[in-house]
Amino acid sequence: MFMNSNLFEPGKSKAEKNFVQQAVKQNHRLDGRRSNECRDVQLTFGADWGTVAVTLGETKVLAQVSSDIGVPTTARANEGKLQLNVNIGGVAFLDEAQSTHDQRFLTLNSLLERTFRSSRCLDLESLCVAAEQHVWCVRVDINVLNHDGNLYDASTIATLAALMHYRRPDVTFAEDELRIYTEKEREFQPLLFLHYPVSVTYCIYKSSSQPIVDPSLLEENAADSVIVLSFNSYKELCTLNAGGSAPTNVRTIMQCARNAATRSKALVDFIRKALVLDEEQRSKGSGQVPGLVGLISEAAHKMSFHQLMKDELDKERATTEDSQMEVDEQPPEQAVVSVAQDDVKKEKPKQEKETPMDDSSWLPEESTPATVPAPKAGKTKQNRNKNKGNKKQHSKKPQNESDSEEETKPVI
Amino acid sequence: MATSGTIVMPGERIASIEEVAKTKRVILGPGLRRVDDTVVASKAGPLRHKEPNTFWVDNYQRRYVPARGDLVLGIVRSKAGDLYRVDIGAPETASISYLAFESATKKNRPDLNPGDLIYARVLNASADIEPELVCVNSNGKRGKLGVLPDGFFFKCSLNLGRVLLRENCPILAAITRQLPYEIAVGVNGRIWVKAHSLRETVALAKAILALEQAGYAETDKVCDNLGDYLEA
Amino acid sequence: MNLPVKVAVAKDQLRRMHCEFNPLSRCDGSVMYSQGASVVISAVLGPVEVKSQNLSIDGSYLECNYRPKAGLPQVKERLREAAIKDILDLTVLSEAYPRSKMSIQVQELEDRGSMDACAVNSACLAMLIGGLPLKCSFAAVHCIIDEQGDYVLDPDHSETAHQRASFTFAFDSMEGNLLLIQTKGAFKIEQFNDIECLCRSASQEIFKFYRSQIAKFHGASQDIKANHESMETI
Repeated sequence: MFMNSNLFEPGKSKAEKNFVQQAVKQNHRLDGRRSNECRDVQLTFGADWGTVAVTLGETKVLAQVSSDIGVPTTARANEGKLQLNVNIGGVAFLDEAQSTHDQRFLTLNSLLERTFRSSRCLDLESLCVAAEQHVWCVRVDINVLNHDGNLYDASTIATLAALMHYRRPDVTFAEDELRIYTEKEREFQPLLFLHYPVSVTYCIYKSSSQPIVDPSLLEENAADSVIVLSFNSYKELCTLNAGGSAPTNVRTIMQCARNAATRSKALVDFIRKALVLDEEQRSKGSGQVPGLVGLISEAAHKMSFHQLMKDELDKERATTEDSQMEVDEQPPEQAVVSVAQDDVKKEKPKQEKETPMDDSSWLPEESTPATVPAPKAGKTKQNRNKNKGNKKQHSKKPQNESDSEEETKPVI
Repeated sequence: MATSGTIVMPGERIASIEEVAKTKRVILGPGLRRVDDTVVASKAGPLRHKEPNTFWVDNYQRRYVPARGDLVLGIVRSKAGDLYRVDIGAPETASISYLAFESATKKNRPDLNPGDLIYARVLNASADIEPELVCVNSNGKRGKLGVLPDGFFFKCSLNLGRVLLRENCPILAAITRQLPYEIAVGVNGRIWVKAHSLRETVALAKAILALEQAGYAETDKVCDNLGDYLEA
Repeated sequence: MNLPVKVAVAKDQLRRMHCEFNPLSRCDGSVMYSQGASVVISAVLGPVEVKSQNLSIDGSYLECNYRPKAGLPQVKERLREAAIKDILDLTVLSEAYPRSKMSIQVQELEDRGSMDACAVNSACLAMLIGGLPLKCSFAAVHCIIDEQGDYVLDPDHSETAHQRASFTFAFDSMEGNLLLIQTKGAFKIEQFNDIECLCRSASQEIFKFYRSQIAKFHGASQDIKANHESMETI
């Protein structure tokens, strides 16, 4: 139950737990946000390519992309490699908590793996220099600096932004000779993407049917279950992570999914805008960029979500409010299925579930529901096999539907 | 009362204290130490002086180091034989005996569970032994100590805790004018508050946390603005 | 606040220093420190519970980690870590908290030259703000001899490409004793002495910076929210 005595973890005492439950019941959040309101996201790009610091409230994550030439695996001789490396120790002191260290690390790691690797968001074939000999190995180091809740979103935003920001050197391979050009000789190349995934986190409490988005650390620790959904900018589901002990019905998950899809799209748009701004600054500043010194200074060089996305935000707010009311009016008529019977201590096994695709209310904004992606099923192995078959059009495959109630049950 | 003093840095010799020490005994508080015949600072912050002869460095601190007689807020971590283990934010977990509660006997044990919040007094503390807590005074009465059942609880810097615990703290008085509330402040930088409604409690917590930014000198100003937090 | 858009700094001057106290909420004290365009973040935790294998009854166990921005710590990072730990061993008043641990974590954010010195200085600031007892504060200065044979104090990343020798000195705040010397390359002993003097005088500037920042921090906590996020040098 307790992490350790060295670090204070809010939300672990009974008083706090009860209080948060009460607050959620009354639709009141401690920091004054509404249940569907997110904290501000700030991006700061470093002087090097592929360095980005993300600030989500007080949560801070630093991502750094690096790449080198390596040998491909024999199974995928014509594809580059993407390696994700999560580091939660260091200044965040998350490794101080021995018992839960593994749990936090594993959950975050698996989320990132599934969001970025299994969903094949990078065009790995474009990273191949010479089949079976030389490919680019792209490595992302995700350093958690501070944890104030919702590490998941901060990390996926940081990873995506860093990958989108990164430029690799140009390279040619002729007559068995590999030549890597410096930035002066040839311009660096950005990485190619197939889609842009980013996650959105919700907390669900036993006392309320209303999930809350972007939880703070207190809210996250006191939550009965945490749902993480990764969507790409085409509003296709990439990862669904759910677990915990709060009873969750399909409607709640669908409501989360719908809002998360919109939010993900906005986030990706925001990252794009921020990148454009960064590009402008770089071309203007004659090669001298402030880099991460900007973190210390005033907001001048931080790119804030609320600033860049003002118009979209207002629109979004209007729509989400509507949809939320809609949901609130409808009584939860479906049988409530407890997602996991195991108690809070065993919150860890966050298994994925297939989202029922037959639900007609699914993504009403989407004009062609057929393009809804196949959600990533359980194990990555399975996934890989699937991906082998249908490479890039993995999302076109219509999902075979089944009884939605059964789907919410855990498959451990 | 304490006078706001000059900033001292670790290693600095403090001649003014040595001057006083020539004529009378002085008490060196936290952040000061004696090296042979000199007084040297070991922490960075403003030097404070309380008449007649007490000196200390009022540095910013978040980590609590237990001292005898301190009032602390702790979270019960586990039961261990005759003891409860309590997390008070110190380097070591503190212990409290089953019998250190009002009218507790061997048969009539207090019902504490992991996760419960208690307000207790540090009975003894030293660098070399585990701190021990009690929830009764020397007469066996609980007074203000004991289990805090509901309400809200949060963490702040030790400095804020100390400010609130001062006698006639203007901040608490100012809040009293706005709404009725209960508060328990631990010197370990943990504060428990409770008001009539949830909204009021949240506002109260926010108002107190806003003081973290401000300091002693400006408390009046903050107190005037407390109403804004509470109404929001 | 002016961002260091490569302000031409004279060769015998330190680059601009900036710092922000307590950017992180979990630890006991943290600081984001920059010298020119090099940025590090340091955090301290302590005194806290120690594992029994590291327990010492007459002093606290000191743990120091340096993490690079990308990849796992390599030899270079381990060396830096060891340098910081050596300095801390000399300066921390560890007997104040026996049977405990003090942990210092340094995370590199951007390496634009003089990283060794930056890491040491940020560790000192983090110790100061974390309220950990020190015998004295400390400061490190990095200096190189460039290809013309000139001394460049606190060199930028671009200036280090053609260095003949590089030096890092750390001094304590009270007697100006040397706490650390790291040298690389070939140099004459006169040059070494010259550079030591140069670094020693530069370290005074860093100590002044520490004091002004601490004063500002405590001053800021006296007049409301006086923007203590953006603290500027001198």
